[in-house]
Amino acid sequence: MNDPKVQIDEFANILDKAENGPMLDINDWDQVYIYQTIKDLVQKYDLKIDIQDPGVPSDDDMADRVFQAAMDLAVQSGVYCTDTQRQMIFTREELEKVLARVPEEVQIGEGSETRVIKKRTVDQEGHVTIGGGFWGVVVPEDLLLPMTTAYAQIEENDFLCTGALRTTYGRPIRAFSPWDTLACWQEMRTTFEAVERAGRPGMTVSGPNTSASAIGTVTTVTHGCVRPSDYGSVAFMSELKVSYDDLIRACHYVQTNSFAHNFYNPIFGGYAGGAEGVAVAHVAGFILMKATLFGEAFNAGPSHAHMSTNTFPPLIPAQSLAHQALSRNTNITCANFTRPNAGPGEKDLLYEIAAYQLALVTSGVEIATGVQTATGRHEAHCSPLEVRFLIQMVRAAEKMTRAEADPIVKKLIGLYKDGQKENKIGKRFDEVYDLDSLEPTNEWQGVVDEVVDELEDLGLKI
Amino acid sequence: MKKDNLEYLASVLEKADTGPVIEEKEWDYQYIGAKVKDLIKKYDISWEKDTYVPADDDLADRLYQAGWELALESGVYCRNTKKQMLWTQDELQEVIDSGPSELVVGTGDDEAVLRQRRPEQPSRVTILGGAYGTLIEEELFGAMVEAYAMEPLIDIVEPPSIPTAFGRTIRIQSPWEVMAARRESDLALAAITRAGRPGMCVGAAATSGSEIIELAATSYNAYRQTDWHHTSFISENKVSYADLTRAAHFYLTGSVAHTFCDPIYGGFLGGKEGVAIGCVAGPILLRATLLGDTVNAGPSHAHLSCDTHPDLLAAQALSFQAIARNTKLLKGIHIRPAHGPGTKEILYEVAAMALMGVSSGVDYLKSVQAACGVNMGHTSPVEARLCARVAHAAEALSREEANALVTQLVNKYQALIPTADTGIHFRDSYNLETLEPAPAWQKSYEEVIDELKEMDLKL
Repeated sequence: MNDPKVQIDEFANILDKAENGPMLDINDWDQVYIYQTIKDLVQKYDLKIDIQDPGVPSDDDMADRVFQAAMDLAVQSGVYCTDTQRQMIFTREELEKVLARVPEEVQIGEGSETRVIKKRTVDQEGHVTIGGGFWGVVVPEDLLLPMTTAYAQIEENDFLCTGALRTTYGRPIRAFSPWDTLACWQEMRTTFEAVERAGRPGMTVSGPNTSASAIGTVTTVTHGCVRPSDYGSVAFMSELKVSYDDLIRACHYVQTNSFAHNFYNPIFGGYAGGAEGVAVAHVAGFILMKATLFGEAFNAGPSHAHMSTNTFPPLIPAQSLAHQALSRNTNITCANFTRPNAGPGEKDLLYEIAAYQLALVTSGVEIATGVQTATGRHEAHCSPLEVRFLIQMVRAAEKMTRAEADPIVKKLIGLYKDGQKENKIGKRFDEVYDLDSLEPTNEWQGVVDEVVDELEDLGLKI
Repeated sequence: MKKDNLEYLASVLEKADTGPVIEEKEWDYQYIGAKVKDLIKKYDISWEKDTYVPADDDLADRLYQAGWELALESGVYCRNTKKQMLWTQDELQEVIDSGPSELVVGTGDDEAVLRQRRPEQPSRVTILGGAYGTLIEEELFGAMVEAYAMEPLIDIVEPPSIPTAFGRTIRIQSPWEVMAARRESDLALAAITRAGRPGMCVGAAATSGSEIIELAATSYNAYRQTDWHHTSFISENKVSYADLTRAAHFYLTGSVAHTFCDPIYGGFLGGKEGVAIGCVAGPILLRATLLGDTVNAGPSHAHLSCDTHPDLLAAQALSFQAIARNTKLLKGIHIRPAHGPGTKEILYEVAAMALMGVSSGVDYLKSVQAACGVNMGHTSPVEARLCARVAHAAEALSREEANALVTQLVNKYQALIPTADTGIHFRDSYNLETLEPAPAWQKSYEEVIDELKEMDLKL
C-alpha cells in the first residue's frame, strides 16, 4: 500500500478513546450495551429470520434494516476495551466518515501473485478471491511444511493461511514468553518455504497463527519475515470488545503500513442472542473494526455457543443477511470464513461448505476463506481437498442469484443438520493425503466426486 | 547478518524453562554474593587502591578465570520462571568463540566498523555518541539526535528516550509502546538524514518499555537490521522473558544486537573486586544468553549510580583487559559520569574513563550518560566530542601512561562526586537553531582540552 492506512493523529485519537472513555463494568457491557440494546434494535427494526427452514434471504429491505440497526448499535454502544474497562464511543458522523472513505478495491500480494479484490454486491457475477488454508488448525511440526505446500499448490488459491504449531523445535510453546517469538518465526519461515516449493514465492500468506499474544504479530511483521503485502490478522473479542493486545497488533500494522484483515466472531446463543442478533452484531462489528483496527478486509465467523461451527443452520441466513447489509450499504471488503462441523473424509463437511459458500457468495462477499475444518479444534484434521471443493462451489455460486441458491442451500442443510450433533471430525491430513505426492487418497477423492455428482443432480452447475 | 543457529536459541530458552528452581534471595546471596566472595579469595583478586589502570596481565587472566567460573557455576537466573540457566564448559566456550571479532554497522558511506582490540593496541576505537538512557522532551528529541549526528568523530549515534509519544503518556504493554517505537524511529532517522548521515547506525530503541517497543521498532518503516539493538540483564546476571524475547527477535531478524549489564558496586557482588568479576562474567553470559554481537558491563555505584567512582575504574580496566586477553568478544565501555553538561568535572570524568578504557583494550566507547542519565535533557554532544578526542589520543598510550593521566583527572573530580552538579539542560547548553554549544559551554570544553594538552595528552 502506498498511501498510509490512516493518519497517525486519527489513530492516536482511537487509542485515546480506549484510555479516556467512560468506565463500565464488563457485566454491564454484556447485558445492557450488547444484549439489551440488540434485543431492542431487533424489535425496533422488525428483523426476522426464518430459522425453521433456513436458506438464503432475498429481502433487500430487511438487509437495509439490519444495516440501520447495526449503525445504531455501533453508535449507542461502540467498543469495550477490556484492558482499561472503558467504552470507546464513536459518533455517527465519525463512523459515516470512516465508511465513506473505504475504497472499492484493495490489493494484496507481490509481483505475479498480486491480487486486486474488487467490490461485489448481492446477486452479482464477479470474481471472488480465494483464501485457502487451514486457518490456525494445530499441527505437529513435521506436518506443517507438507501441509502448507499442499495448500499452496492449489492453483486457484489466491492466498494462503497456514496452521498453528503444537511445539517449536520439539519444545512446548509457552504463551507470553520468548517461545512465542521462536514459534511464530518457525511457522512463518516454514510457510515461506512452502510457497517457494510450490513455485509461488510472492504468494500472499496469512499468519502467524501460533501465538496467543501480540508478540507473535509484532515479532514477525518485520524485516525478513511477514511482508506488508501479506494478509495480517487482528480481531475483536465477542461481543464488540477489544484488548490492548489487539490494539498493539493494529498499531503495528498501521505503523508498518501493512495489509490487515479484521475479524470478529459473534456468538449465537450468547449476548448477541439468536440469528437476528448475530446478524446485527456481525454488521456492527465490521463497521467498528474499520473504525478501530483499520483493516482492509473483514470477516465474521459467528460461532455456535456450544458447537463452534458457523454452518449451524440458523447461522446461514444470519450471515447471508449480514453480508447483504454490508454489501448494499458500504464498500467494505467482506470475506466469509468457513468453519464447518465435520472433518476430512466426511460427506457432511462438503455439504456444509457448499451450503455456506452458495449462501454467502450470492450475498455479495468479495473473499471466500477457509476451511477451518472440524471447527479447527482437532489436530491436523483438515486437508487441501476441501479447499479445492470450496473453490468449485465459489465459482458455481458466482453465477447465481440468492433466489437460485436458496433451494439448493435448503436441501444441503437438510443433508447435514442432524449430523452436526454427532461431531464427525473425520480423519487427519496424513490419513487422507499421500505425504509423498501431496495428493488426496483415492478414498477421500472418491467421496468428493460423489458429492459433486449429488450437487449436479441438485441443479448446481459446477 | 546471518544468524541461523536456531537449535542453540531454542536450547537457551529451554534452560530458562527447565533449569533448577531457585528462590531469588538464594540466587542473590549464594549464587552471587557467597560465590563471588569465594572466587576473590581463590583467584587472589586484589590491587593497589590508587591504581586506576592496572597493567598486571596475570591478574587480568586470573580475573578472567574467576569470571568464567562464576559464569559456568552460577549461570543466569530467569526471573519469570525462577530457574537457573546453566551451560557446560564446552557450550559456553563454543558460544563465546562464535561471536564476531569484527562487526560492520550502518550502511553505505555511513558504515562503521567495530574491531577487536587488546590492551595497549594502537588501533582505532569506535565512538558511540548520544544521550542513551536519558529522557528528553519529545519536541527536542530530533534536535538532540541531529546535534550528536553532526559530530564528525561520532561513528554511531545513540538517541535519548522520549517520555511521551504524540503528547501522550507511553503506557507500558499498551499500544502506546508501538506508537512510541515509531515516533522515536521516525524522529531519529529524520535527524540523521538532516545531519547528512542517513546510513548512520542508530542505537535502537532508546525509549524504555516492555519488549513490545523493541520489537515494534525493529520493523518496516522503522529501525533497520544494521542499527544497534539493545537487550540486557538485570543485576546480577538475571534475565527476564522480555529480554529473551528481544534477543530472539534480534537474532531472527538478523539484526545487530548489543547486550549489556550493570553490576552493582556495593550490592550482592560486594566491592570493587567483586564488581570486576561481575564485569567479566556478565559479558560472557550476555553472549551465551542473549547472543549479543557486542557486550558491555556498565557498573553502577549503589548510591551514586555513576561508574566513574575511583573504586570502579580499576575494576572496569581489569575486566576489559581480562576479556580482551582471553576472548574475541566485542566489548565496550559505558561512560556514566556523576556531573552534568556545563561543568568541567564531567569532562574530567569522561576523559578518565576514555583513557582507562582504550588503554585496557576496549573496542568501542559509549559516550556519555551525563549526570547518570537521571535528569531530563541534561546531556550534550560536547562531552561525547571530548570523549572521542581523548579516546583516539589514548590509542597510542600504554596502561602505565594512561594511569598517570587518569590519576591526575580523578584528583580533579573525585571529591565532588557525592555532591555532583548535574549541570544544565540541552536547551541551555546548546543553541537550538545552530545546534552548536553555547559559548560558555564551548569555552569550558576548550579550557579542559588545554588542560589535557598540558598533561601531555596528544590531542
